[in-house]
Amino acid sequence: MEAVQHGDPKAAEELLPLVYGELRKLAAAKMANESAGNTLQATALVHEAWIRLVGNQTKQWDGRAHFFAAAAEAMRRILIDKARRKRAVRHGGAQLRVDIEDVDVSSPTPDDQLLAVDEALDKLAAQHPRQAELVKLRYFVGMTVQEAAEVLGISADTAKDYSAHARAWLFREISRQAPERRAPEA
Amino acid sequence: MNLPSDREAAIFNTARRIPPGERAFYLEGACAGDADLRQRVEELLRANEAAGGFLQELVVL
Repeated sequence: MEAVQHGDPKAAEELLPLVYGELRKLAAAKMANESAGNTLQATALVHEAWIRLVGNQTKQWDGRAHFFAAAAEAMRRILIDKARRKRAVRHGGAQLRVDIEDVDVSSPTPDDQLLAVDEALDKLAAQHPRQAELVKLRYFVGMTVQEAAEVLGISADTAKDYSAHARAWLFREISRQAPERRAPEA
Repeated sequence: MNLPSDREAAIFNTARRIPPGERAFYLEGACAGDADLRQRVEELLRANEAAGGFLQELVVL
């Protein structure tokens, strides 16, 4: 953690398993009663993990940024694993015939959206790495645009613009992958 | 640092704030003959219009 505090970038990689382990423990304890408040709980988890790993001495900026990048990635993996397990249960259950009129394909469940965003995110990261980092912090960790901007070292205005670009980019990508999932055009 | 991909973001964000009728003129100049870039930005602008409630977490009012 000291190396991370002093801005050692390699330390962030080594930090990931540590953060992951801590978040898994916290997630197991807290996510039992989760409902739709996924992202709110995610923020609380990350902050709690930070306190446990580093204590209250949040002085070094580089350390904090690296921690949150690692935490966002760890949170993403926890949430995706969970969503995949739930989806496997839904799809692997009894082979019921579903009347197609009963299925609202234009409104994906939060889990469906989570999984679709996750798939598209690696592609976004390859072309627009800052935007992908921003999405992880805001969508998987639930940070405000101001908090995410501070972590990434950009202005709030830039973060807002990156958010808009990322959102349009992801919507376009996900619409391509699964056109039947697209929300009805206004 | 100005990566080519940031240029797409910058043009998109400027264009989305311009009235639709004036966008073509702006894009003509900003994309400067890069047809691929122009097409990507136009697709993003359409996606921006159609996104509705998608990823509301990323929308800042």
